[in-house]
Amino acid sequence: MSAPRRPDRPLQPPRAAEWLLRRFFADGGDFTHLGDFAETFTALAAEKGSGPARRWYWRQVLRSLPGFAANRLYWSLSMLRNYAVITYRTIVKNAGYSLISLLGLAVGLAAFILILAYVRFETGHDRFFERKDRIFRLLNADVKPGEKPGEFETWTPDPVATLLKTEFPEVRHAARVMRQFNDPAILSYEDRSFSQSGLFADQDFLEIFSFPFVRGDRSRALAAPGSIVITEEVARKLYGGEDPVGKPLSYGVRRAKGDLTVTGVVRNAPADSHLQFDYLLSVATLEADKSNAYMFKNWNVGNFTIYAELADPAGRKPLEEKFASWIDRNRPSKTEAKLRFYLQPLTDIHLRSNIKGQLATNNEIRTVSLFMAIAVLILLIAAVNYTNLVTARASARAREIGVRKVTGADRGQLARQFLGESVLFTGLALAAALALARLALGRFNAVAGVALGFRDLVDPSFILLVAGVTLAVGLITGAYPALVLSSFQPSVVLKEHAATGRKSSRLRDALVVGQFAASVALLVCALVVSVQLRYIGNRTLGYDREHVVIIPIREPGAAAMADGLKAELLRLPEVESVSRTSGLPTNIRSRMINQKLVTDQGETITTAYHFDYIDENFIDVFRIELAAGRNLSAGEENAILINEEFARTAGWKDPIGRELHKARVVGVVKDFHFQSFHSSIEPLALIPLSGNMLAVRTRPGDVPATIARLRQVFEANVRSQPWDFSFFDDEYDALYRKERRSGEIFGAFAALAVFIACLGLLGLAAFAVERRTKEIGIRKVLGASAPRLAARLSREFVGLVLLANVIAWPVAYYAMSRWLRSFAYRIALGPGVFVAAALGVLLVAVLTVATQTLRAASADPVDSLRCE
Amino acid sequence: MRLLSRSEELVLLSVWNLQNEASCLPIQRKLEEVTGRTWSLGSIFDPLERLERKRLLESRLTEPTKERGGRSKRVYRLTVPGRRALHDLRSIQEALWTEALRLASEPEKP
Repeated sequence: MSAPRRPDRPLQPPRAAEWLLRRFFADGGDFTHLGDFAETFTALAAEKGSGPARRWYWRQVLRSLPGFAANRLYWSLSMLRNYAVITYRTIVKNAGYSLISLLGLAVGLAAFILILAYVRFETGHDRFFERKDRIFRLLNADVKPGEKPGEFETWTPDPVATLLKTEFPEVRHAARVMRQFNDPAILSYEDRSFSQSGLFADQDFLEIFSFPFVRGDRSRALAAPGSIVITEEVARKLYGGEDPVGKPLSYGVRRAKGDLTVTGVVRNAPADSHLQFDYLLSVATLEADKSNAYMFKNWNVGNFTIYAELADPAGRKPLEEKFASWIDRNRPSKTEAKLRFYLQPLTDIHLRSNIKGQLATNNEIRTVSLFMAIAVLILLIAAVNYTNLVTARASARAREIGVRKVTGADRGQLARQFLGESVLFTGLALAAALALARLALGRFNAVAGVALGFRDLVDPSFILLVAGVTLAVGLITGAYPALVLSSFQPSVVLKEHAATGRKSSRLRDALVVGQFAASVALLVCALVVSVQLRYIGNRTLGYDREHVVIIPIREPGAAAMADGLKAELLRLPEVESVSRTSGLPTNIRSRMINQKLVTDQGETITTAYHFDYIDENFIDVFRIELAAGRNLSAGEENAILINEEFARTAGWKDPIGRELHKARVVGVVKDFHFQSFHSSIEPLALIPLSGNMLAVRTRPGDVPATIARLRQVFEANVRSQPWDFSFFDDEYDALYRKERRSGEIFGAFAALAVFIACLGLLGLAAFAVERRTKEIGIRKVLGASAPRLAARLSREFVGLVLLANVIAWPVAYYAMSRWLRSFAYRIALGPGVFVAAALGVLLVAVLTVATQTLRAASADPVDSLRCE
Repeated sequence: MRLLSRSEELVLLSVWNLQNEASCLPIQRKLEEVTGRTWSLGSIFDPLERLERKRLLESRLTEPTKERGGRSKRVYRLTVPGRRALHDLRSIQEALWTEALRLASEPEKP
């Protein structure tokens, strides 16, 4: 039994049923019908009990529902149909304005979609691994007593991996990974051989990273020496249709050659993995080779990247501390510096680690956020067009709004109608944007350096995200018009020819200024980037980068032939000189630290310098000039070249004959930029030793023919390595690829922004002219000339664009001076680029407005004044 | 002259019958009593609404009561046109009845 009721509270009808009834059966708000039902209910309850009474009540309500629902649906559908018809008519009637808004929105959305896809790709790196939250990469830094930790790097000594597994139970797996020293290597089977790039990896690598295995036994594929796991692509190239597992594979790099057995085939590494490889070679193979003994069980040599999988993702901090105290207690390394370890989450590797020793080139979160910001900016500029045109043309809809209000529409209904319209409109724009994005995809991929497919753009979760953004844009753009349009007073707007569209609105002007400010800022950035890049291009490098072909030497067979090949190449008439070298003047990274040098004053200084291995032809091939002394001579050992900066740093007035590296300095080369312009020129030593590539200076002329001759000679001399070459010029370009990419993207999006903003301006100008047709006619009759009229009409727009410039300049100045600071050699940020951007945008804006105003100003006033 | 439907006529008549008590439920009860069949509330709301729109009825709201879940009752009253409409209907019917009865009482012609 339920609790007894108090006598003064009679039994109530079922709440839910009553609520339903109330929703469908409003009866003008006094609910007397509900009262009738309630009274009958009470009577029934008194007579037959509450159960039957309730059943009766529910039966009444449910029976009436279908009728009410159908009624409602009918009316809302007919209103919806009316809205759709009106939207369609509005779009068609104002085809020009609609097209302008649609085009702007479509272009803006297309740009947004492309960038969003890019950002999703970049931020989605390494998220496909099954246990991604528990996987960490080990970073380490040296800490000297009383100093802050030095630069973090991934190069970690070998014993750390074993230690992690034996001493720390919370570590499930720890894998050592290393990129092949002379990557790529030559993989061959029978008569087929290909140059492929790969990694040395432990069995634990396969346990940690869930790269899907296609063939072979995953649980011991990388356990034994001589085991190699290849990707599907390599399997197909080398073995065709055969099953490669258990088959031999011969392997060659510069100094080593070996016979391996294929133990497994994995899927190709996805593009969004920071680990990229064509093959995985067991670390045990490396360990079995006596000549590599120095890398193993040695705390002073860090060659590996170590990945660890923890049992619990939250165990990271405690483990870091435990590890630190273990190192403190055991002091395995005999140097005075202590090692500090840090566990970096797997998903931070691609975007949040700008450190030494990456296994693959990565990106920066800063660049990605910058792109995202640009995308949002472009989308906003496009959205503003729609808002502006709709509110500007509000008077055209005034009559409709008046009639709707008079026939009983309330403000909410009207607001919903206009919001619906703008959402529908952005929906249309989305369809067009997808088509545009598809068209631009190839170009975008080339500029951004990614390989997105159309599939990435229509991937369900992505399209859902894009649709969400589109809906939001629709609601935002529609909100203001809905607010304004629904506020019209019918008594005002229905009065004869009352034109209620205000002449100009503060908000509209502000929006236009915002659009142009963003465009100008983007344009200034694009200009600065391109000017800076041109400055770098024109700066004297100190070497000549034209006409040099680089031929890599990748395996022992080729290395043995290298000197013979050099001599053969020199015999070609197309070849001027050949150098066998390890370093290229673009990028010398090898560096010695903590070197003690004695200055002329007798002081001992500790410094660091870069070095690389070259031969006596190096400075000829790259046309590097000597400042003092002489060049190396052929076959000379114990001789060394340094650059001027070296001499300055070491404090040597006359460096010739000084001892360095158990050798004597024989010459000083003039300073040249051996790193990118981000760094200034640092001390450099060039040491004679046989290098791993040939740099060939060719005579200008027929490039393909020259390359063909080089290839002939190469193939006649080297059989163990496939022909392969690159232009030194391209290596140079690669130095600034990131900057050029940003520059191109800035340029492209700045152009888009200006384009979209001008579309909006075009619409507003057209409308202004349309509204002032009569005024123009009268002015003409009274003797105004066409150019003066056009100028008069353009004036207000020009003012807005000028104001936009004033706002954009400081923002762009701030952003660009920060960017330029990353270059050691940079342009001064003068007024030139700002004025150029301003003039450019102003010119385009004036031309846009002029197309409208000139037409109106040159029209015959009879046409505009005759009617009525 | 407007003709009423049978349900309108019956509802209108019951309102007249009930004098000051003419709200939905008494009307329903009255009709069920007289006709001997069940009348749903909906089948009374509708004619009431139509009659009110035709100005044959007028209504007022009473004080809310407890057994009605704190809601008012709508009480109906005949208007002058309403009364006239019922009279008109009656006279039409009487005319037709008189004629029909007269014909029925006369001996059939050979």
